[in-house]
This record gives sequence, structure tokens and C-alpha cells, in this order.
Amino acid sequence: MREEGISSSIYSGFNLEQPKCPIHLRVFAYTVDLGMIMLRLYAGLLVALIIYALFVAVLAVLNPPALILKILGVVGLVACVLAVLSISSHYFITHELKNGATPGKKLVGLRVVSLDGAKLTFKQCLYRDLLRLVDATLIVPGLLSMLLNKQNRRLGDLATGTMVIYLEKDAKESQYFYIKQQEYHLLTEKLEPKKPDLEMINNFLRFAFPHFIKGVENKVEAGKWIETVRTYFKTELGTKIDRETALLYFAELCHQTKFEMKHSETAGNLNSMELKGEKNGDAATL
Amino acid sequence: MEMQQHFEPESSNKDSEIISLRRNKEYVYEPAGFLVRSGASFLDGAIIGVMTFPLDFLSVIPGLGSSGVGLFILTGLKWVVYFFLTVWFISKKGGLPGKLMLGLKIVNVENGLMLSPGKAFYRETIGKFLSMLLLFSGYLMVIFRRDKRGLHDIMSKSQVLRKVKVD
Repeated sequence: MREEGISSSIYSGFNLEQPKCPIHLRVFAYTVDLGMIMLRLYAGLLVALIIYALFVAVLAVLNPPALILKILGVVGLVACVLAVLSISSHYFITHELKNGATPGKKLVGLRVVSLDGAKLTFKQCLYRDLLRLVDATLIVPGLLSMLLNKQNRRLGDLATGTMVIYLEKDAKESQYFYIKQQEYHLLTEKLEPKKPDLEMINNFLRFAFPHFIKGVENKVEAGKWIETVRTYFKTELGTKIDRETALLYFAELCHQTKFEMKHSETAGNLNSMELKGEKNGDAATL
Repeated sequence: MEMQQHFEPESSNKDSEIISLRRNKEYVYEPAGFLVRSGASFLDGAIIGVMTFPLDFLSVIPGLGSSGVGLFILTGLKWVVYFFLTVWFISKKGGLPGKLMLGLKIVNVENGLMLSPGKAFYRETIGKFLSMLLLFSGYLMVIFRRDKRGLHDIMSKSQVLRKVKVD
């Protein structure tokens, strides 16, 4: 069992104090994982059943003495069941060993990290998985432990010195459509753009989406838009940007702004603001 | 998978520097074919099944039983939850968990944004129902159209895109 020595709050690039993951996200990631396991189990069972049927058919044709038939039958069935079970039981362990995140967690943007900063060991993953039988199946112990612990650790985490964290960067990766998250943030810092209003967003995206994503290139429109787009950027740098980059970045800017508008808390107020074409200081949500 | 960035903040000759993302595109979005979408549907079904599974426990409540009015209410509740989940996922994240895990996205055909809840609801209920109506012809359309849109996609002005890595 490992020591819970959290001497420094930042290690391996993760800040332990901050990105404690919300419980509902863990639950959601778990349901996604369960869904995948069940699908595999179902498929595995189907395959096992078919193999078993073939096995039985072959035995019937060959017609060995009754006792051997029975023994072979049971052995075959047991083998199939074990095979199916073994597929599902190391789903969690293999994924956590390799990446620190199962597909369900990856979808949501969570990571399992060891508190001492090293990679997860096999022992840690194994014990976490075994304790999952208690945490998740009986629900109450796991839930209680997560609610009472400041870092939202369940029994499996407490016993093995691990923790699940929420990486905002990973969670938002899929939100970015035209350019990558990293590039977007770099360019935003450099260009300090003005936020476009709703009408501008809609019109521009109506050009940008077919042009960039669907591949219906429209060079004439691009030529018409580039001047307007440059006015949204910091003036010195505005003219020094490659045309395609400027349009791509502006498309992503519109995409993200629209996304923020939709998911902002004060949706009601925002509607009246959108009509006036003003949108001030929503940088906090970024 | 290098992105060749031609902008460096620390470069000395800032006058002649042109900011450009001259990158070999890492991935493109293309319309998703029938096979991927079917696989995604299976996965979706399993995940949504797991998510709504606790609702089955409600039948233990004395008032509702497993027959008669109680059953009707429970089934109704299940449908409501199912539709709410589906519409929420499609309009906020671009698809149900199964689709997202396979890299698929449901977008609005005109501007590439996520569908509004209204469109998502229309797509899932009326759209899919009509697709099934004439021997699943709405789904078969996905195979034969170049932009891989089914009847429910056309009715709700959506398209399912797939992220594909480009070598």
C-alpha cells in the first residue's frame, strides 16, 4: 500500500489541489465503460454459443462413448464461459495501465493518476479493480467515500493511493472544429480578437463550414471575407496573417463564441444582448 | 504529426514574420458511412441502456406495480428520460456517447454547429420514425447518397461527420 504523501501540489504536470473531478462525471464515465463491457460480453457470449454449438455438433457426429461425451461437453462449456469472462474483467486494468484512462473516462476528460507521481503499477490497477466490486456494485460505500473525501476518492482510490482528476483540456478537445485547441489558444493570445456578434457568426459560418469542412471550396467568397475578418484582429498583426489561417481562426472563433453563447448560464439575458449585437467580457467562461 | 508553426513569439525579426498555420492537415471530416453509424448505434443503445437501468428499480414502489396503470406510468417515464437524454446529448455534445467514442459528430448542415434541441427532437422522433416506415428506406438512403444523409438527417438539416486521420 502506498503512502499518501502529497508533499508538493504540482507534479507530472497535474496540479493535485485543483482538478478534483466531480462525482457525476465519474458516474457517467462508469456507465459508458459498463455499456462497452456489456456490448463486448454480449458479443462474446454470442460467439461462445456458436462455438459451443459447433463443438456439440462435431461430437455428435464423431459419437464417442457417453461418459467422454459428457465430460467434453462440460469442459467445452466451462472454457467458453471463462473466455467470455476474461474478456470483460481486464477491460479496466489494461486501459488504466496503458493510458491511465478507460475509454469512458477519456470521453469525459478524466485521468487516473498515482499520488506519488509515478505511472500506475499493475498492483494499483488490480486492487482498484477488485475494490470496484465493492464501490460500484454496492454503490453506497463508493458514494459515501467520494462524498466524504475532499478529493472525491472512492475506496479503491484510498487503498491504492490514486486519484481521478479532471483535465479540462482533454474534455474540451472535441469542441474544437476548425483548428486544434492548442493552436486556437496560441492565436487568441497573439491576436486578441474582438468577439463577433451573432449575425456575423451565422453569416460567416455559412461560408466557412462548406468551404473548410465539406471541401466545397469557394475562393471568391474567401476573397470577399478576408478584409472583414482582418478588422477583428489586433491591427499590427492583422495584416501579417496568412489568408487561410485568418479565415480558419475566425471560423473557430465564431464556432467557440456560439458554443459559449449556447452554454452560458444566463441564457435568457444573453438573448437580448445578442439582438443588440453586443457581447462583453465572457472570457471567464473560456 | 508535426504542425509547422511559422510564428515564434521570441523571434527577433518580427517585421518580416508572417503568422501562418502551414500544417499538413492531421485530420479531415468526412460524411460517416452506414457501417460506422450502425456500430455507433449499437454502442449508444448499450450505454443508454446502462444509464436508464436504475429506472427499472422504480417498479418496487408499492403504488406502481408491474402491471396496469403503474406499468404505463413507468414506461412513459422511461420514454421521457430516453428522449431527454438523447436530445441533450445531441444538442450539447454532438451525439450520443457511442457516436462520440467513435469520433462521429452530428452537425447542422448549414453552419457546422450543433443541432438545436428542437431539431434534435424532430430528428429523433419524427425523423427516425419516418425513416423506418417504408422498410427502413430512410436508413438505406445512407448507403446510396454521396453525402451519406438519411431521411431523418435531411428532414432536420443535419449530417453525421466522421473524424478521419490523414496520412
